[in-house]
Amino acid sequence: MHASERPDGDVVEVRVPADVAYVSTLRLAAAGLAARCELTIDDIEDLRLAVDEACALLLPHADKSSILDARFELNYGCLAVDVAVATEGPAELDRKGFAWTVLGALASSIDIEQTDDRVTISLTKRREATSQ
Amino acid sequence: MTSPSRPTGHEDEKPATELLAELHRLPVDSPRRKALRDELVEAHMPLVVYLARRFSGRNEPMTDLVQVGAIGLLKAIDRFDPGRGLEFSTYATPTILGEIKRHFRDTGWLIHVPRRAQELQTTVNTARADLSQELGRAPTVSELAARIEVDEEAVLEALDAARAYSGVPLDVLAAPGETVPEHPMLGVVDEGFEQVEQRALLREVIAKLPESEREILLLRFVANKTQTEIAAIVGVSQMQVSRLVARGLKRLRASLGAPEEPPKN
Repeated sequence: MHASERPDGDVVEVRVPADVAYVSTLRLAAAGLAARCELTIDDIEDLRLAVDEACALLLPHADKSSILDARFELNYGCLAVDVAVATEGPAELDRKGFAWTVLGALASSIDIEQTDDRVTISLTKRREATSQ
Repeated sequence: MTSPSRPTGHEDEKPATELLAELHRLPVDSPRRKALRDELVEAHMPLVVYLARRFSGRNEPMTDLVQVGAIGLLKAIDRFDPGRGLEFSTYATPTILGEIKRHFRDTGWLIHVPRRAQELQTTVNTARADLSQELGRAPTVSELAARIEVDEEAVLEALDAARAYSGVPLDVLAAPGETVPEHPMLGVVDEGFEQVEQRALLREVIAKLPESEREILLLRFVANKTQTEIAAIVGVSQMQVSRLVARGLKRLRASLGAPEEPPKN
């Protein structure tokens, strides 16, 4: 890929109903965009699962008719994903369960931002280092 | 390096950390190791089950997935270095997932995927193995696309097919124009094996095969091992076994003449 074709700084936003049925759409979007970022296919597998886990953590706190907001920021070798839902009152994300563990293990870094009516999980996936 | 928001302070992690530290200090031949490992395995089986469940719906029995996941857990227990200050479950998760993914790559699938993606997927699998070897890491989608000369969309499609996981690239077993057997067990050479006459001939031809191919063909068709089992025995990848089987069969077929010719009585 030529430098001019690098996706650096490009932002893609996807809004879907806060419903488990749309999680696969976000997974696919994440995979497609990760390819634009030149992540490896193993990274992409991890990212799909990480997006799954992030949604699994968020969805229980979303009210039924709300929107699941996903924002992807593309850079060469790194995809940053923010997923957010509107909540009724401050949400207490389950940080003891497996979803949290798995998310932490699969993403290169994770962060959570909570306000009174919104919770956002930010995760990044960087291209894996060359082994050997 | 861990970010502050990484999972920390699971209540059940404390004893695990201590068990792992003790395990790490013990000499390799200590009889206490087994008890410690058992305890650690038991403590972390729920994580394995959780991860295995992420892959349900791909038509593999959960018990199989849990078993291969447990292999990953054992590897993680043995390789974990308590000195690095990493949470064990964070360390173990990729290892367990890796083992489950490998299982899918090795065992084939039963989920329907579009034909075109399925065919391309064989090519993608081969290119993936080759490129991983060359690069020392997994290839990117664009690297795969460049290698097999298709567009990235098609690679993604094939990767989606790969998520249904194909194991054996069967079409390589078929000569041009020959019908591809529908099932891996319907080996093309079987008819040849049936014929006593040909069997004697075959023995000669097999003896002339390079040793690696001979060994793998015997394991595959005489000992009836799966490619995955053979890979473990011989110590090469399943893709490599697949290639050696294909190459060996091709050589056999060439040596025996046209296989579709009916045997003379």
